[in-house]
Amino acid sequence: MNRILLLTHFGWGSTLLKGVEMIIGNVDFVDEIALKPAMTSDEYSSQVESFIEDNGKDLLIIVDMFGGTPNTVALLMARKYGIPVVCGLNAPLLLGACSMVINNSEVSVDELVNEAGSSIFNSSKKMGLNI
Amino acid sequence: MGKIVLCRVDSRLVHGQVVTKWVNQVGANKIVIIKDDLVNDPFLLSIYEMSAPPGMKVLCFDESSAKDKIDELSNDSKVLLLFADVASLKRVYDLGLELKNVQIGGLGGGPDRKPIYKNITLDDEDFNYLKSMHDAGVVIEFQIIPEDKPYEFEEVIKKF
Repeated sequence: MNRILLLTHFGWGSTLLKGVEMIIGNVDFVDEIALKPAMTSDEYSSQVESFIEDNGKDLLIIVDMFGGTPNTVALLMARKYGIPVVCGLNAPLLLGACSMVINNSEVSVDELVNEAGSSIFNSSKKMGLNI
Repeated sequence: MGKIVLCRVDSRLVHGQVVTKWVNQVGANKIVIIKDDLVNDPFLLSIYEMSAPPGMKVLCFDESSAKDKIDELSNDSKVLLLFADVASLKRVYDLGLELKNVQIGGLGGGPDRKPIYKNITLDDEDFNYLKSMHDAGVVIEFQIIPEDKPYEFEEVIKKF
């Protein structure tokens, strides 16, 4: 896996990436294709497919959430090109995915998801504050 | 026979929270999509099913059998009926599907399309299809999410 493609509503993944780059430095292997309000599924799908045709399928696609058009389009790409899709984009997930690419590691997508999956919890409760 | 509690045209069909909001707003217990190419794509249909509220059944019929299949649904069915575009809605309407209200929630882009309401655009063909349904007594409104105020087709006629 040598590239990461973020698919989000409106394009907040690019901003998330800037935050992640504060931690791991600049990366050049993450791209985003934003679903904008006026777009149709077909327009979006064409953009995503063009990206894959231009950049190859050795990718991980991360979408913001299950159920929206980015996820639906991503899954159609998964079926067509065999590209893995993870939903639930957040900072720890993007960090973990970037580390996988940087380290050219053998970490599987399943391991990435297991680790990042536990990144959402009640932080105040965990520290003993009963909030 | 059941009841069509909402007939909506939305090019993105079942997408996340938008559909969930409408299901809750109108009390639908079934989603029925009318789309010929989707009938032969169970994988894509299952994505739409998983994108709908948990436990919600999502069915897909083709245009030619839509009216009959909808009539065959159980009497307790409260259906959110979905079309991806105005042309397919018009074709099924012309085949005899009775509709009192139609909601336009999202349509495709493209050249020759004029913005009508928020992101929704119409071209001459779509306008004419909707006008003929309107003239036959169907109430047509543009509305993306329940929080929006519906925009009546009457207003569109004035400006188009």
